[in-house]
Amino acid sequence: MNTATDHTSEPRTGGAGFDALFDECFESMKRLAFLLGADDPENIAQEAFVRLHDRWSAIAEKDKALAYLRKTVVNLSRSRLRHLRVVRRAPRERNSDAASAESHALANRAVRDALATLTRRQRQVVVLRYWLDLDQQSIADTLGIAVGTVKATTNQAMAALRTALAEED
Amino acid sequence: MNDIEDRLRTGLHDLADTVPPSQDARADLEHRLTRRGRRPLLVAAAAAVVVAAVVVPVALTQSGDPGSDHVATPPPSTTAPPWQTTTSELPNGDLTGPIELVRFDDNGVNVAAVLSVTAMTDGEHWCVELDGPAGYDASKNGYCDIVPSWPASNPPGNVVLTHALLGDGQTLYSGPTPNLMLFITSPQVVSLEVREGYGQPVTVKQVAKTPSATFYLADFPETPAGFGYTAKDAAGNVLEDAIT
Repeated sequence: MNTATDHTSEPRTGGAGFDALFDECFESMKRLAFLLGADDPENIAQEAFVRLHDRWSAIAEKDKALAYLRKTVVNLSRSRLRHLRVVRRAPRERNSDAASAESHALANRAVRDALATLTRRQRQVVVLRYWLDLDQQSIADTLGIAVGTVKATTNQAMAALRTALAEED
Repeated sequence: MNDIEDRLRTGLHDLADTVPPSQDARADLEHRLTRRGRRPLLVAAAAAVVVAAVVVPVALTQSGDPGSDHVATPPPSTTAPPWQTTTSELPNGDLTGPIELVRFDDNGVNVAAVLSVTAMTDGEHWCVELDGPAGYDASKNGYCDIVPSWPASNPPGNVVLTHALLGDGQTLYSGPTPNLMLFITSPQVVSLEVREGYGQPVTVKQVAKTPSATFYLADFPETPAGFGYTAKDAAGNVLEDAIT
C-alpha cells in the first residue's frame, strides 16, 4: 500500500478524508485497471482520483467515493481497450504498449489467458465479483446495467472460463 | 465456492499482486491537481497564443490547394508555429498550451475545449479540459492521458491514438462536440489523412507538437462512425492505415 509521509506539503490534495482514501485505495484502483486489461493502470488510477477530487464536495462519503472511483476506473479502462482494438485492426499489426503492462501478469498465466478469452463485459463482471468481492447489485451499479444482466453475464463468463481453463490444463 | 471460483479468485489476486506499488503516486496526484488549479491563469496569460493557434492553421490551409486541409502536414520549418513552444518558455514542464481547440455553447454558456501538454517523470501528459466563465463546472467532460512510448521506427509501430474530443471517450459521436476527434501521433508521423466511414476525406489540422507527439484535430462533416486514417512519415511511407 502506498503511503504518504509529507502531509504538510502544499498544495493539499483535498483534505484529510480525500488523502486517506487516496492512501487506502490508490493501489487497489490501479490493480483494478490492470485486471481489466488497461495498458496504463497507473495513469487511469491517477485520473480517477483527479476526477473524484473535482467532485469531492458532492461525494465526500467513503462508500459513494469508492463507488465513483470504481466506475471511473472501469470506464477509463474501457476507453483504453477501445483504442487498442482500433490499432489491432490496422493492416500492420504490431506489439502494443500493453505488452509491457501485461508482462507483470506472468505469475498466473492460465488465468490470465483465460481472462483474455472473455468479452469486455464478462471480464468486468468477473473482476468485480471475484477480485473486489462486490455483490451483484454493486456490480450492476458500477457497470450501469441490470442485476439480471450481471447474473447472466457471470454465468456466461464462468462457462467460458471453465472451457478455457480446461484447455489450459 | 466451487473449484473454478476458487481458482479464479486466487488467480486474480496473484495477478493483481504482480503490479508493483507506485513510488511517487501522491506527488504525481498533487502535480496533476496543481496544474488544474492554475489552468485559468495560464489560459489568460496565453491568450495571444490561443488566437494565433486558431488563425494560423486557417491561413495555412487557405494558402494551399483546395484539398490540402484534408491532409495535415507540418508548417514551414523556417518559422516555428506559435503553438509549438519549448519547455523553457513555460513553467513546470508545460510543453504546450493551453491551446483552444474549439468553442461551443453548453446550455447557454460559451465554453472552450483546451489542450495542454506537460512533461512529467513518466512521460508527457496531455489534457483536454473545459474553460468557461466563473461558476462554470469545468470538471465535466475533461480528461487526461499519457503519451505512450512509441515503438521503434523499423518496422513501423503503433503510431496513432484516437479520442473523441469530449464526452464519453470510448463512444464515438458523443459529448457536446460529437463531430470532433483528437488524433495523437508519434513524432515520426508528418502527414495524417482522416476519412469518414464511406471514404470522404475529413478536415484535419495539426494543433500542437511536442517532443513526443503531434496532436491533430479532425472535424467530421457527418459522423466519425467507421472512420479511417492513414499516417505517413516524411518519406511518404504509410506507417499506419486503419479502418475502425
